Amino acid sequence: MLSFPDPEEIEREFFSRLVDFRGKRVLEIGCGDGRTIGYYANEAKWIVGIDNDRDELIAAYKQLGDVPFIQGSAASLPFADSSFDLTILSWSL
Amino acid sequence: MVHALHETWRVTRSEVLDIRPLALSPLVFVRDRNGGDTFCGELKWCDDSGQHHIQSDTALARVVAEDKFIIAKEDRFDWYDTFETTDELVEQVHDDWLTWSVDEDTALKLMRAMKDLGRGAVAYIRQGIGVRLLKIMKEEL
Repeated sequence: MLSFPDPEEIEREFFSRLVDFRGKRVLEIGCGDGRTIGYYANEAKWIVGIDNDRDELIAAYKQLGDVPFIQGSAASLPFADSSFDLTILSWSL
Repeated sequence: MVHALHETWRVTRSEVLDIRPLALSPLVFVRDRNGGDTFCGELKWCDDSGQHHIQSDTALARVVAEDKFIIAKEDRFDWYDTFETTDELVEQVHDDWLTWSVDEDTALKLMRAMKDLGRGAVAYIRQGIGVRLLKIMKEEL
């Protein structure tokens, strides 16, 4: 059986190599079904996910029920200035 | 996109991680059972509103030029999607990739390669993914 690099494993490695999530307030824009939130959910202080696809957000909520998810657009973020230490543009720009 | 970056800048205190496909066409290959690769073609952009990965790069360059962000780190990796049959690849691109399509020439080369390379051959798409860590430039009040 041929083997290929696991792209999610590589992606997870990039997340942890580039960013120290410990104690951070994190916003993930384009969070989808919450796939990448799982990479750092145990480290961040708190996390908010935003996406404009309601079905994806329902899937995210089923996986990560303790994370608040908001349906919305990056063009108009319903947060005060400097609310987050770190924002992730997750395949969304 | 520039507006979305301005909003991102507004709500963020220190860093932004930007991960998304590079503005390059994903490539279609078949890998034989010994690990040899046969190139079959590239996916074609099929959204009339323009190649939005290029537009994203342009938007990012603009906000960097405005001194709202600096690119602190930048890297890339390849994302592999594998398929057991030509039909599976073509159907998934059609159903899930939305802005990309498999043209007839690539589909024919893919079918031929899968047939010639026989049992154990795997079709795959390789897409470059860019990762950037952006530092927010903001005067603290």
